[in-house]
Amino acid sequence: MVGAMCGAVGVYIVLQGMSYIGHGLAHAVFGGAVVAFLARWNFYLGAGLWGLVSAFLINGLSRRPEIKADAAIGIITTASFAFGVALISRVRTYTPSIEAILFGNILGVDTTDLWIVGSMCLVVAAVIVGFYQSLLFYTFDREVAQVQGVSTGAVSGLFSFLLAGVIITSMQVLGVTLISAVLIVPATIARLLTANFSRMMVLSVLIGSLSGGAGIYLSYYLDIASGASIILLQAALFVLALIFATYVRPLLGNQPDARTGAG
Amino acid sequence: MTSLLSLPGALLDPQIELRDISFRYGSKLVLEAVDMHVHDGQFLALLGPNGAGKTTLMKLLLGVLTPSSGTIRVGGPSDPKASLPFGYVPQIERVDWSFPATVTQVVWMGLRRRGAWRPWPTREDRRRIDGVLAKLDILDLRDTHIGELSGGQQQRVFIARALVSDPPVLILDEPTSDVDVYNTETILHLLAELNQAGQTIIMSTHDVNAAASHLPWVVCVNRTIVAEGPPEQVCRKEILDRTYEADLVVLEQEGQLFVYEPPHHHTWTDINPKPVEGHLPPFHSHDERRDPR
Repeated sequence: MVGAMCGAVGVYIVLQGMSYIGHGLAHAVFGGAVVAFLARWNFYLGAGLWGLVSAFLINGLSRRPEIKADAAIGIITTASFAFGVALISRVRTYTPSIEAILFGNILGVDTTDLWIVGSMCLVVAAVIVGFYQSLLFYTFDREVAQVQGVSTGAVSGLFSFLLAGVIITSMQVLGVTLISAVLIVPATIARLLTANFSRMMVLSVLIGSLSGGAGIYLSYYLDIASGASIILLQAALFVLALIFATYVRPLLGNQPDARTGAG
Repeated sequence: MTSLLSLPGALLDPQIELRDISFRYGSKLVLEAVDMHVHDGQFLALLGPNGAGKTTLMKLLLGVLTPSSGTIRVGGPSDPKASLPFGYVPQIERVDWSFPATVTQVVWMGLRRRGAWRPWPTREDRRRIDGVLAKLDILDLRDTHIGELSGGQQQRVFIARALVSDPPVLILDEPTSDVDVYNTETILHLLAELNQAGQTIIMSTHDVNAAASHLPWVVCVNRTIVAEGPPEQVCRKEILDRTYEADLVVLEQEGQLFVYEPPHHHTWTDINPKPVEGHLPPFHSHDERRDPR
Protein backbone atom coordinates (compact mmCIF):
# COMPACT_ATOMS: atom_id res chain seq x y z
CA MET A 1 0.00 0.00 0.00
CA VAL A 2 2.81 2.39 0.96
CA GLY A 3 4.67 1.52 -2.27
CA ALA A 4 1.58 2.05 -4.41
CA MET A 5 0.67 5.47 -2.99
CA CYS A 6 4.28 6.66 -3.04
CA GLY A 7 4.54 5.45 -6.66
CA ALA A 8 1.42 7.40 -7.66
CA VAL A 9 2.33 10.68 -5.95
CA GLY A 10 5.94 10.26 -7.12
CA VAL A 11 4.90 10.64 -10.77
CA TYR A 12 3.85 14.24 -10.15
CA ILE A 13 6.94 14.97 -8.05
CA VAL A 14 9.35 13.63 -10.67
CA LEU A 15 7.61 15.39 -13.57
CA GLN A 16 7.54 18.71 -11.73
CA GLY A 17 11.28 18.38 -11.12
CA MET A 18 10.63 18.51 -7.36
CA SER A 19 12.35 15.27 -6.36
CA TYR A 20 14.03 17.05 -3.50
CA ILE A 21 10.70 17.91 -1.85
CA GLY A 22 10.03 14.34 -0.66
CA HIS A 23 13.42 14.23 0.99
CA GLY A 24 12.97 17.68 2.46
CA LEU A 25 9.42 17.26 3.68
CA ALA A 26 10.25 13.95 5.36
CA HIS A 27 13.03 15.72 7.24
CA ALA A 28 10.69 18.61 8.08
CA VAL A 29 8.08 16.22 9.50
CA PHE A 30 10.79 14.73 11.71
CA GLY A 31 10.67 17.94 13.77
CA GLY A 32 6.92 17.43 14.30
CA ALA A 33 7.37 13.74 15.04
CA VAL A 34 9.88 14.47 17.79
CA VAL A 35 7.62 17.13 19.30
CA ALA A 36 4.68 14.70 19.23
CA PHE A 37 6.82 11.97 20.79
CA LEU A 38 8.15 14.15 23.59
CA ALA A 39 4.81 15.81 24.33
CA ARG A 40 3.11 12.36 24.17
CA TRP A 41 0.70 13.59 21.49
CA ASN A 42 -0.65 11.35 18.80
CA PHE A 43 2.17 10.83 16.27
CA TYR A 44 -0.07 11.35 13.21
CA LEU A 45 -1.62 14.51 14.64
CA GLY A 46 1.70 16.14 15.57
CA ALA A 47 3.60 15.10 12.47
CA GLY A 48 0.58 15.79 10.27
CA LEU A 49 0.07 19.36 11.45
CA TRP A 50 3.81 20.00 11.28
CA GLY A 51 4.02 18.54 7.76
CA LEU A 52 1.07 20.56 6.51
CA VAL A 53 2.46 23.81 7.91
CA SER A 54 5.86 23.02 6.34
CA ALA A 55 4.32 22.21 2.95
CA PHE A 56 2.30 25.42 2.91
CA LEU A 57 5.31 27.47 4.05
CA ILE A 58 7.41 25.97 1.22
CA ASN A 59 4.65 26.65 -1.26
CA GLY A 60 4.21 30.23 -0.07
CA LEU A 61 7.94 30.97 -0.02
CA SER A 62 8.56 29.52 -3.49
CA ARG A 63 5.90 31.81 -4.96
CA ARG A 64 8.21 34.75 -4.33
CA PRO A 65 10.22 35.42 -7.48
CA GLU A 66 13.45 35.85 -5.49
CA ILE A 67 13.21 32.41 -3.84
CA LYS A 68 13.19 29.29 -6.00
CA ALA A 69 11.47 26.08 -4.87
CA ASP A 70 14.70 24.25 -4.02
CA ALA A 71 15.87 27.09 -1.76
CA ALA A 72 12.45 27.26 -0.06
CA ILE A 73 12.52 23.49 0.57
CA GLY A 74 16.10 23.72 1.86
CA ILE A 75 15.33 26.49 4.33
CA ILE A 76 12.07 25.17 5.81
CA THR A 77 12.98 21.50 5.98
CA THR A 78 16.49 21.72 7.36
CA ALA A 79 15.35 24.25 9.95
CA SER A 80 12.58 21.89 11.01
CA PHE A 81 14.89 18.84 11.05
CA ALA A 82 17.44 20.84 13.06
CA PHE A 83 14.69 21.70 15.53
CA GLY A 84 13.95 17.98 15.97
CA VAL A 85 17.65 17.19 16.42
CA ALA A 86 18.00 20.05 18.93
CA LEU A 87 15.05 18.73 20.95
CA ILE A 88 16.47 15.19 21.04
CA SER A 89 19.93 16.39 22.07
CA ARG A 90 18.35 18.52 24.79
CA VAL A 91 16.30 15.75 26.42
CA ARG A 92 18.76 12.92 25.54
CA THR A 93 16.11 10.24 25.28
CA TYR A 94 17.09 8.69 21.98
CA THR A 95 14.80 5.71 21.97
CA PRO A 96 13.84 2.96 19.51
CA SER A 97 10.71 4.99 18.63
CA ILE A 98 12.86 7.82 17.32
CA GLU A 99 15.08 5.32 15.53
CA ALA A 100 11.96 3.92 13.85
CA ILE A 101 11.03 7.42 12.67
CA LEU A 102 14.50 7.86 11.21
CA PHE A 103 15.04 4.47 9.58
CA GLY A 104 11.64 2.77 9.51
CA ASN A 105 10.47 -0.36 11.32
CA ILE A 106 7.88 -2.57 9.71
CA LEU A 107 7.52 -4.65 12.91
CA GLY A 108 6.43 -1.53 14.79
CA VAL A 109 3.36 -1.14 12.55
CA ASP A 110 0.13 -2.03 14.39
CA THR A 111 -3.46 -2.45 13.20
CA THR A 112 -4.24 1.25 13.68
CA ASP A 113 -1.27 2.16 11.47
CA LEU A 114 -2.52 -0.26 8.82
CA TRP A 115 -5.96 1.36 8.87
CA ILE A 116 -4.39 4.80 8.56
CA VAL A 117 -2.14 3.75 5.65
CA GLY A 118 -5.10 2.04 3.96
CA SER A 119 -7.28 5.15 4.34
CA MET A 120 -4.51 7.37 2.98
CA CYS A 121 -4.18 5.01 0.01
CA LEU A 122 -7.90 5.48 -0.73
CA VAL A 123 -7.59 9.27 -0.38
CA VAL A 124 -4.63 9.31 -2.83
CA ALA A 125 -6.54 7.14 -5.32
CA ALA A 126 -9.70 9.28 -5.01
CA VAL A 127 -7.82 12.57 -5.47
CA ILE A 128 -5.80 11.31 -8.46
CA VAL A 129 -8.87 9.85 -10.19
CA GLY A 130 -11.10 12.82 -9.38
CA PHE A 131 -8.61 15.55 -10.27
CA TYR A 132 -6.64 13.61 -12.90
CA GLN A 133 -7.05 16.15 -15.70
CA SER A 134 -6.41 19.20 -13.50
CA LEU A 135 -3.35 17.58 -11.90
CA LEU A 136 -2.01 16.61 -15.34
CA PHE A 137 -2.46 20.14 -16.74
CA TYR A 138 -1.01 21.69 -13.56
CA THR A 139 2.04 19.40 -13.71
CA PHE A 140 2.61 20.04 -17.43
CA ASP A 141 2.13 23.80 -17.55
CA ARG A 142 1.02 25.59 -14.40
CA GLU A 143 0.70 29.06 -15.94
CA VAL A 144 -1.49 28.04 -18.86
CA ALA A 145 -3.53 25.71 -16.63
CA GLN A 146 -4.46 28.75 -14.56
CA VAL A 147 -5.51 30.71 -17.65
CA GLN A 148 -7.55 27.76 -18.94
CA GLY A 149 -9.65 27.52 -15.79
CA VAL A 150 -7.69 25.18 -13.50
CA SER A 151 -7.76 26.51 -9.95
CA THR A 152 -3.98 26.21 -9.54
CA GLY A 153 -3.99 27.48 -5.95
CA ALA A 154 -6.44 24.75 -4.94
CA VAL A 155 -4.58 22.05 -6.91
CA SER A 156 -1.28 23.14 -5.37
CA GLY A 157 -2.78 23.03 -1.86
CA LEU A 158 -4.37 19.64 -2.52
CA PHE A 159 -1.06 18.27 -3.76
CA SER A 160 0.80 19.58 -0.70
CA PHE A 161 -1.82 17.89 1.49
CA LEU A 162 -1.42 14.58 -0.39
CA LEU A 163 2.35 14.67 -0.21
CA ALA A 164 2.45 15.50 3.49
CA GLY A 165 -0.16 12.78 4.15
CA VAL A 166 1.76 10.15 2.18
CA ILE A 167 5.04 10.99 3.91
CA ILE A 168 3.57 10.90 7.41
CA THR A 169 1.70 7.65 6.90
CA SER A 170 4.74 5.99 5.24
CA MET A 171 7.16 7.14 7.91
CA GLN A 172 6.71 4.19 10.28
CA VAL A 173 7.55 1.72 7.51
CA LEU A 174 10.23 3.54 5.54
CA GLY A 175 11.74 6.11 7.87
CA VAL A 176 12.53 9.79 7.33
CA THR A 177 15.88 9.16 5.70
CA LEU A 178 14.71 6.64 3.09
CA ILE A 179 11.21 7.81 2.16
CA SER A 180 12.20 10.13 -0.67
CA ALA A 181 13.67 7.25 -2.70
CA VAL A 182 10.37 5.37 -2.63
CA LEU A 183 8.66 8.51 -3.92
CA ILE A 184 11.13 9.08 -6.75
CA VAL A 185 12.54 5.73 -7.94
CA PRO A 186 9.34 3.95 -9.15
CA ALA A 187 8.24 7.05 -11.11
CA THR A 188 11.70 7.42 -12.64
CA ILE A 189 11.78 3.74 -13.66
CA ALA A 190 8.30 4.14 -15.20
CA ARG A 191 9.45 7.23 -17.11
CA LEU A 192 12.37 5.24 -18.54
CA LEU A 193 9.94 2.61 -19.78
CA THR A 194 7.21 4.83 -21.27
CA ALA A 195 6.53 8.32 -22.56
CA ASN A 196 2.77 8.10 -22.07
CA PHE A 197 1.52 9.79 -18.87
CA SER A 198 -1.29 7.32 -18.09
CA ARG A 199 1.00 4.31 -18.60
CA MET A 200 3.68 5.99 -16.49
CA MET A 201 1.17 6.34 -13.64
CA VAL A 202 0.06 2.68 -13.83
CA LEU A 203 3.65 1.41 -14.11
CA SER A 204 4.85 3.57 -11.22
CA VAL A 205 2.06 2.28 -8.93
CA LEU A 206 2.79 -1.34 -9.95
CA ILE A 207 6.55 -0.97 -9.46
CA GLY A 208 6.02 0.79 -6.11
CA SER A 209 3.63 -1.83 -4.72
CA LEU A 210 5.41 -4.94 -6.05
CA SER A 211 8.85 -3.76 -4.94
CA GLY A 212 7.32 -2.80 -1.57
CA GLY A 213 5.92 -6.32 -1.04
CA ALA A 214 9.04 -8.07 -2.34
CA GLY A 215 11.28 -5.74 -0.32
CA ILE A 216 9.52 -6.65 2.93
CA TYR A 217 10.00 -10.39 2.20
CA LEU A 218 13.66 -9.71 1.44
CA SER A 219 14.08 -7.77 4.69
CA TYR A 220 12.64 -10.75 6.60
CA TYR A 221 14.86 -13.36 4.93
CA LEU A 222 18.02 -11.24 4.90
CA ASP A 223 17.29 -9.73 8.34
CA ILE A 224 17.82 -6.12 7.23
CA ALA A 225 15.74 -2.95 7.75
CA SER A 226 12.53 -2.99 5.68
CA GLY A 227 13.01 0.53 4.24
CA ALA A 228 16.56 -0.30 3.15
CA SER A 229 15.59 -3.58 1.46
CA ILE A 230 12.70 -1.93 -0.47
CA ILE A 231 14.95 0.85 -1.71
CA LEU A 232 17.82 -1.46 -2.63
CA LEU A 233 15.39 -3.58 -4.63
CA GLN A 234 14.04 -0.47 -6.39
CA ALA A 235 17.59 0.72 -7.10
CA ALA A 236 18.35 -2.65 -8.73
CA LEU A 237 15.16 -2.32 -10.84
CA PHE A 238 16.23 1.19 -11.81
CA VAL A 239 19.58 -0.13 -13.08
CA LEU A 240 17.77 -2.83 -15.09
CA ALA A 241 15.36 -0.25 -16.57
CA LEU A 242 18.28 2.00 -17.46
CA ILE A 243 20.07 -0.88 -19.21
CA PHE A 244 16.83 -1.77 -21.03
CA ALA A 245 16.18 1.83 -22.18
CA THR A 246 19.79 2.40 -23.23
CA TYR A 247 20.83 -0.87 -24.83
CA VAL A 248 17.92 -3.28 -25.31
CA ARG A 249 15.13 -1.06 -26.66
CA PRO A 250 17.19 0.39 -29.55
CA LEU A 251 17.87 -3.22 -30.61
CA LEU A 252 14.14 -3.97 -30.65
CA GLY A 253 13.84 -1.20 -33.22
CA ASN A 254 10.23 -0.18 -32.56
CA GLN A 255 11.14 2.46 -30.00
CA PRO A 256 14.25 4.37 -30.96
CA ASP A 257 14.21 6.45 -27.81
CA ALA A 258 12.47 6.80 -24.49
CA ARG A 259 10.49 9.83 -25.65
CA THR A 260 8.13 8.01 -27.96
CA GLY A 261 4.50 7.95 -26.93
CA ALA A 262 4.03 4.37 -28.07
CA GLY A 263 5.79 3.06 -24.97
CA MET B 1 -4.31 57.19 -28.96
CA THR B 2 -4.58 57.76 -32.71
CA SER B 3 -7.75 56.27 -34.08
CA LEU B 4 -7.23 55.80 -37.78
CA LEU B 5 -10.53 54.36 -38.79
CA SER B 6 -14.00 55.05 -37.63
CA LEU B 7 -15.59 51.67 -37.14
CA PRO B 8 -18.71 50.80 -39.09
CA GLY B 9 -21.95 50.89 -37.10
CA ALA B 10 -22.46 47.12 -37.34
CA LEU B 11 -19.36 46.54 -35.22
CA LEU B 12 -20.30 48.81 -32.37
CA ASP B 13 -20.96 45.99 -29.89
CA PRO B 14 -17.45 44.87 -28.98
CA GLN B 15 -16.64 41.39 -27.70
CA ILE B 16 -13.91 42.83 -25.46
CA GLU B 17 -13.74 46.39 -24.24
CA LEU B 18 -10.86 47.95 -22.30
CA ARG B 19 -11.53 51.41 -20.87
CA ASP B 20 -8.81 53.67 -19.54
CA ILE B 21 -6.70 50.76 -18.32
CA SER B 22 -3.49 51.37 -16.42
CA PHE B 23 -1.25 48.81 -14.79
CA ARG B 24 1.71 49.08 -12.42
CA TYR B 25 4.28 46.48 -11.44
CA GLY B 26 5.22 47.94 -8.06
CA SER B 27 6.04 51.58 -8.73
CA LYS B 28 6.70 51.03 -12.46
CA LEU B 29 3.91 52.16 -14.75
CA VAL B 30 3.68 49.50 -17.50
CA LEU B 31 0.44 50.53 -19.20
CA GLU B 32 -1.56 53.74 -19.05
CA ALA B 33 -4.72 55.13 -20.61
CA VAL B 34 -5.34 52.03 -22.73
CA ASP B 35 -8.64 52.09 -24.60
CA MET B 36 -9.21 49.16 -26.91
CA HIS B 37 -12.08 47.27 -28.47
CA VAL B 38 -12.00 43.80 -29.97
CA HIS B 39 -14.96 42.82 -32.11
CA ASP B 40 -16.42 39.44 -32.94
CA GLY B 41 -14.45 37.85 -35.79
CA GLN B 42 -11.50 40.26 -35.59
CA PHE B 43 -7.93 39.08 -36.23
CA LEU B 44 -5.42 41.50 -34.74
CA ALA B 45 -1.78 41.69 -33.74
CA LEU B 46 -0.40 43.61 -30.78
CA LEU B 47 2.83 45.08 -32.14
CA GLY B 48 5.55 46.65 -30.09
CA PRO B 49 9.09 46.39 -28.79
CA ASN B 50 10.20 44.31 -25.79
CA GLY B 51 8.86 45.81 -22.57
CA ALA B 52 6.11 47.72 -24.38
CA GLY B 53 3.40 46.05 -22.30
CA LYS B 54 2.05 43.55 -24.88
CA THR B 55 2.31 40.55 -22.55
CA THR B 56 0.87 42.56 -19.65
CA LEU B 57 -2.04 43.59 -21.86
CA MET B 58 -2.69 39.94 -22.77
CA LYS B 59 -2.46 38.85 -19.12
CA LEU B 60 -5.01 41.56 -18.23
CA LEU B 61 -7.33 40.23 -20.94
CA LEU B 62 -6.88 36.66 -19.69
CA GLY B 63 -7.66 37.72 -16.14
CA VAL B 64 -4.26 36.62 -14.78
CA LEU B 65 -3.55 40.25 -13.80
CA THR B 66 -5.98 42.86 -12.51
CA PRO B 67 -5.71 46.42 -13.81
CA SER B 68 -4.54 49.13 -11.39
CA SER B 69 -7.34 51.28 -12.77
CA GLY B 70 -9.91 51.15 -15.56
CA THR B 71 -12.39 48.47 -16.59
CA ILE B 72 -12.31 45.40 -18.80
CA ARG B 73 -15.54 44.01 -20.13
CA VAL B 74 -15.62 40.63 -21.84
CA GLY B 75 -18.88 39.70 -23.48
CA GLY B 76 -20.69 40.62 -26.65
CA PRO B 77 -21.89 38.14 -29.22
CA SER B 78 -20.12 35.04 -27.99
CA ASP B 79 -21.06 31.38 -27.74
CA PRO B 80 -23.09 31.10 -24.50
CA LYS B 81 -22.14 27.39 -24.21
CA ALA B 82 -18.42 28.14 -24.03
CA SER B 83 -17.09 27.65 -20.51
CA LEU B 84 -14.21 30.12 -20.90
CA PRO B 85 -14.01 33.25 -23.03
CA PHE B 86 -10.41 32.60 -24.09
CA GLY B 87 -8.23 29.85 -25.49
CA TYR B 88 -4.57 30.62 -24.80
CA VAL B 89 -1.49 29.51 -26.71
CA PRO B 90 1.79 30.16 -24.81
CA GLN B 91 5.20 30.65 -26.41
CA ILE B 92 6.21 27.13 -27.36
CA GLU B 93 9.83 27.56 -26.26
CA ARG B 94 8.53 27.51 -22.67
CA VAL B 95 7.13 23.99 -23.09
CA ASP B 96 8.83 20.94 -21.53
CA TRP B 97 9.04 18.71 -24.62
CA SER B 98 10.33 15.73 -22.65
CA PHE B 99 7.07 15.56 -20.64
CA PRO B 100 5.47 12.12 -21.15
CA ALA B 101 2.38 13.20 -23.07
CA THR B 102 0.95 12.36 -26.46
CA VAL B 103 -0.78 14.86 -28.74
CA THR B 104 -4.21 13.61 -27.59
CA GLN B 105 -3.26 13.96 -23.91
CA VAL B 106 -2.08 17.56 -24.43
CA VAL B 107 -5.23 18.56 -26.33
CA TRP B 108 -7.42 16.84 -23.69
CA MET B 109 -5.91 19.13 -21.03
CA GLY B 110 -7.70 22.05 -22.72
CA LEU B 111 -11.10 20.34 -22.57
CA ARG B 112 -12.47 21.71 -19.33
CA ARG B 113 -15.94 20.32 -18.87
CA ARG B 114 -18.06 20.32 -15.78
CA GLY B 115 -18.76 16.93 -14.25
CA ALA B 116 -15.95 15.23 -16.21
CA TRP B 117 -14.46 13.18 -13.41
CA ARG B 118 -13.08 10.30 -15.38
CA PRO B 119 -9.27 10.06 -15.60
CA TRP B 120 -9.46 9.41 -19.32
CA PRO B 121 -11.16 11.15 -22.26
CA THR B 122 -14.83 10.15 -22.68
CA ARG B 123 -16.22 9.21 -26.10
CA GLU B 124 -17.53 12.80 -26.46
CA ASP B 125 -14.08 14.15 -25.46
CA ARG B 126 -12.42 11.94 -28.09
CA ARG B 127 -14.88 13.13 -30.76
CA ARG B 128 -14.05 16.77 -29.96
CA ILE B 129 -10.30 16.15 -29.77
CA ASP B 130 -10.28 14.28 -33.10
CA GLY B 131 -12.43 17.03 -34.61
CA VAL B 132 -10.03 19.82 -33.68
CA LEU B 133 -6.98 17.73 -34.70
CA ALA B 134 -8.60 17.07 -38.11
CA LYS B 135 -9.39 20.78 -38.47
CA LEU B 136 -5.71 21.56 -37.91
CA ASP B 137 -4.57 18.70 -40.18
CA ILE B 138 -2.72 16.73 -37.47
CA LEU B 139 -5.18 13.90 -36.80
CA ASP B 140 -2.59 11.31 -37.89
CA LEU B 141 -0.30 12.53 -35.07
CA ARG B 142 -2.77 11.96 -32.21
CA ASP B 143 -0.76 9.13 -30.57
CA THR B 144 2.65 10.73 -31.18
CA HIS B 145 4.74 11.95 -28.28
CA ILE B 146 4.96 15.77 -28.29
CA GLY B 147 8.78 15.69 -28.31
CA GLU B 148 8.77 14.05 -31.73
CA LEU B 149 6.89 16.83 -33.52
CA SER B 150 8.33 19.48 -35.84
CA GLY B 151 8.09 23.17 -34.85
CA GLY B 152 4.99 23.76 -36.99
CA GLN B 153 3.27 20.63 -35.69
CA GLN B 154 4.04 21.61 -32.07
CA GLN B 155 2.42 24.99 -32.63
CA ARG B 156 -0.66 23.29 -34.12
CA VAL B 157 -0.99 20.99 -31.08
CA PHE B 158 -1.07 23.98 -28.74
CA ILE B 159 -3.55 25.82 -30.96
CA ALA B 160 -5.66 22.62 -30.87
CA ARG B 161 -5.52 22.58 -27.05
CA ALA B 162 -6.66 26.21 -26.96
CA LEU B 163 -9.49 25.60 -29.46
CA VAL B 164 -10.83 22.28 -28.22
CA SER B 165 -13.35 23.87 -25.85
CA ASP B 166 -14.60 26.25 -28.58
CA PRO B 167 -13.60 29.53 -26.92
CA PRO B 168 -14.94 32.69 -28.58
CA VAL B 169 -11.45 34.31 -28.54
CA LEU B 170 -8.06 32.75 -29.27
CA ILE B 171 -5.06 34.54 -27.72
CA LEU B 172 -1.52 33.68 -28.84
CA ASP B 173 1.68 34.90 -27.20
CA GLU B 174 4.35 35.49 -29.85
CA PRO B 175 3.37 32.52 -32.05
CA THR B 176 6.05 33.44 -34.58
CA SER B 177 8.97 34.06 -32.22
CA ASP B 178 11.77 31.52 -32.44
CA VAL B 179 10.13 30.03 -35.55
CA ASP B 180 11.76 30.03 -39.02
CA VAL B 181 10.36 31.97 -41.98
CA TYR B 182 8.63 28.91 -43.42
CA ASN B 183 6.82 28.08 -40.16
CA THR B 184 5.94 31.76 -39.59
CA GLU B 185 4.15 31.71 -42.95
CA THR B 186 2.38 28.43 -42.19
CA ILE B 187 1.21 29.54 -38.74
CA LEU B 188 -0.09 32.90 -39.95
CA HIS B 189 -1.91 31.24 -42.86
CA LEU B 190 -3.45 28.72 -40.46
CA LEU B 191 -4.61 31.55 -38.17
CA ALA B 192 -6.04 33.42 -41.17
CA GLU B 193 -8.00 30.28 -42.13
CA LEU B 194 -9.36 29.94 -38.58
CA ASN B 195 -10.32 33.62 -38.65
CA GLN B 196 -12.07 33.13 -42.00
CA ALA B 197 -14.13 30.44 -40.28
CA GLY B 198 -15.25 33.04 -37.68
CA GLN B 199 -12.63 32.70 -34.90
CA THR B 200 -11.69 35.94 -33.11
CA ILE B 201 -7.89 36.01 -32.75
CA ILE B 202 -5.53 38.25 -30.79
CA MET B 203 -1.79 37.65 -31.08
CA SER B 204 1.29 39.50 -29.96
CA THR B 205 4.39 39.78 -32.14
CA HIS B 206 7.65 41.67 -32.62
CA ASP B 207 7.56 40.90 -36.33
CA VAL B 208 6.16 44.01 -38.04
CA ASN B 209 6.65 42.61 -41.55
CA ALA B 210 4.82 39.34 -40.88
CA ALA B 211 1.94 41.17 -39.15
CA ALA B 212 1.73 43.82 -41.88
CA SER B 213 1.57 41.27 -44.67
CA HIS B 214 -0.80 38.75 -43.05
CA LEU B 215 -3.14 40.51 -40.63
CA PRO B 216 -6.07 42.79 -41.35
CA TRP B 217 -5.64 44.85 -38.16
CA VAL B 218 -2.64 45.82 -36.08
CA VAL B 219 -2.46 47.58 -32.71
CA CYS B 220 0.80 49.38 -31.92
CA VAL B 221 1.58 49.23 -28.21
CA ASN B 222 4.19 51.14 -26.28
CA ARG B 223 2.93 51.69 -22.75
CA THR B 224 -0.32 52.84 -24.32
CA ILE B 225 -2.05 52.25 -27.65
CA VAL B 226 -0.01 54.34 -30.10
CA ALA B 227 -2.27 53.57 -33.07
CA GLU B 228 -4.53 50.86 -34.44
CA GLY B 229 -6.03 50.06 -37.79
CA PRO B 230 -5.28 48.20 -41.04
CA PRO B 231 -1.52 47.72 -41.53
CA GLU B 232 -1.33 49.88 -44.65
CA GLN B 233 -2.54 52.81 -42.55
CA VAL B 234 -0.77 52.02 -39.28
CA CYS B 235 2.62 50.78 -40.49
CA ARG B 236 3.83 54.25 -41.41
CA LYS B 237 7.21 55.61 -40.45
CA GLU B 238 6.04 58.18 -37.90
CA ILE B 239 3.81 55.67 -36.08
CA LEU B 240 6.38 52.85 -36.08
CA ASP B 241 9.16 55.23 -34.98
CA ARG B 242 7.00 56.23 -32.02
CA THR B 243 6.09 52.61 -31.25
CA TYR B 244 9.62 51.24 -31.45
CA GLU B 245 11.36 54.46 -30.34
CA ALA B 246 13.74 53.99 -33.28
CA ASP B 247 14.49 55.50 -36.69
CA LEU B 248 13.00 52.86 -38.99
CA VAL B 249 12.79 52.66 -42.78
CA VAL B 250 9.41 51.71 -44.25
CA LEU B 251 9.30 50.63 -47.90
CA GLU B 252 6.29 49.70 -49.98
CA GLN B 253 6.66 47.40 -52.95
CA GLU B 254 3.76 45.93 -54.93
CA GLY B 255 1.40 46.65 -52.05
CA GLN B 256 3.67 44.88 -49.51
CA LEU B 257 5.21 46.77 -46.61
CA PHE B 258 8.82 46.21 -45.56
CA VAL B 259 10.08 47.68 -42.32
CA TYR B 260 13.73 47.54 -41.33
CA GLU B 261 16.31 49.32 -39.26
CA PRO B 262 18.66 51.42 -41.43
CA PRO B 263 22.36 50.41 -41.62
CA HIS B 264 24.52 51.56 -38.73
CA HIS B 265 27.62 53.65 -39.23
CA HIS B 266 29.74 50.54 -39.67
CA THR B 267 29.32 47.27 -41.57
CA TRP B 268 30.80 43.84 -40.92
CA THR B 269 33.63 44.57 -43.38
CA ASP B 270 34.72 47.49 -41.17
CA ILE B 271 34.97 45.16 -38.20
CA ASN B 272 36.64 42.32 -40.10
CA PRO B 273 38.13 43.94 -43.23
CA LYS B 274 39.94 40.80 -44.45
CA PRO B 275 37.57 37.86 -44.73
CA VAL B 276 39.32 34.49 -44.42
CA GLU B 277 40.08 33.19 -47.88
CA GLY B 278 40.90 29.67 -48.94
CA HIS B 279 39.04 28.00 -46.08
CA LEU B 280 35.48 28.57 -47.25
CA PRO B 281 33.73 26.63 -50.00
CA PRO B 282 32.71 28.64 -53.09
CA PHE B 283 29.12 29.83 -53.34
CA HIS B 284 26.74 26.94 -53.84
CA SER B 285 23.07 26.22 -53.11
CA HIS B 286 21.28 23.13 -51.93
CA ASP B 287 18.02 22.00 -53.45
CA GLU B 288 16.13 21.20 -50.29
CA ARG B 289 12.61 19.87 -50.21
CA ARG B 290 10.68 20.38 -47.04
CA ASP B 291 7.72 18.70 -45.46
CA PRO B 292 4.78 20.91 -46.53
CA ARG B 293 3.54 20.87 -42.93
